[in-house]
Amino acid sequence: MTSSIRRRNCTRSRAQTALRRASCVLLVATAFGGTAFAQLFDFAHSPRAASFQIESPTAAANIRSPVAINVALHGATLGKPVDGLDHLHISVDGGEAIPVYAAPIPPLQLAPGRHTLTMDVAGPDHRPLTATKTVTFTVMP
Amino acid sequence: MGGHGPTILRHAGGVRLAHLTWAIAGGWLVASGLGIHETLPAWASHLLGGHLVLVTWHGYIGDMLALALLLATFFVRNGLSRFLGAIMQFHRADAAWPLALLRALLHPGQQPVLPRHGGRFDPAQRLVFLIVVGSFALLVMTGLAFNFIPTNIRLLFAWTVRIHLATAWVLIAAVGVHIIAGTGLLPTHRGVARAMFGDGRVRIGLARRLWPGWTARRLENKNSRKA
Repeated sequence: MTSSIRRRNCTRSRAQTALRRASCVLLVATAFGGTAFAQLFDFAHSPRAASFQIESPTAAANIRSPVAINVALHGATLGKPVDGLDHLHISVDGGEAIPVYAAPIPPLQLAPGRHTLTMDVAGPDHRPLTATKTVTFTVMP
Repeated sequence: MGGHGPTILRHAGGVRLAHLTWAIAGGWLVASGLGIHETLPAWASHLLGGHLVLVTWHGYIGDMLALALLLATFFVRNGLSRFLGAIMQFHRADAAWPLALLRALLHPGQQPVLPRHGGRFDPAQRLVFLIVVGSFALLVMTGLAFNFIPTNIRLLFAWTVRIHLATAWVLIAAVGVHIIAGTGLLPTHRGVARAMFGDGRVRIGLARRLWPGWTARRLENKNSRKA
């Protein structure tokens, strides 16, 4: 009776030790393996052949608010990261970059005066796929 | 927060500091993750710094936390191993504990009676911690995977994001339960917050109710040391 309890306790404790060891190995493998792999094989961030043109507003244009934004994308598709798709970062006059995940891009309500639109295309990992482009235009009263 | 009667040390200063650090880092990761996923309202994302700040710092803090985990496996291996050992023990009788807790919560007027167990953590706590540890490990794995999965393998990247998001919701739910219990909002847990956010002590009566076996062992050790 006693030996059977001891055997059962021993089996349980062996199972717990194995589980504990496996968890530690998993944690180390996760943290160390993942980081090392990311550093050694940085193939993910070789730039994809993506580009874009800001079709409107054009440089030095005199337009009225709301300002329509049209962009021609090449090698990128707008959508959510959850679908593995790309998005635009749009910023006006050096302000906070707003992510845009779908076309058409909502028109901008801007006050009269000169404005600068800054844009780039980012991948689903939020890293830029293209260089930043800017266009300066004037909003008429 | 204080309470009356004799108390017992539940968590030492180092554990409380580590818990606070992880709570702050984890809180930021959850908030920034919700901001990136546009679950937060626009004004809240703006308040946290905007899309680019959230994206940059979510990845940075996530990598730092993964690094901290790696360092912990080397430098506080015993503590980590003890913690994992304490949450990975389940006995058939433990199944009655969450039901008894539920019964106690549904009858707040009565003196709560919870079944005896021998663990450092109560059975419900162990289950919650297992979910937290498991989901956190999966979040770290998928989070690190974003560093090396080529974005042009769309389906693989998309599924990694989906798993990361689904796991984050599981973690948020488990941490939510942990917060409700740990802040002492439940009548059965009143005064327990002091163990992590106060001087690390809890009333002996409360400790006996929630962790009877652990309390008995602690008091026995203390008495034998005195003797």
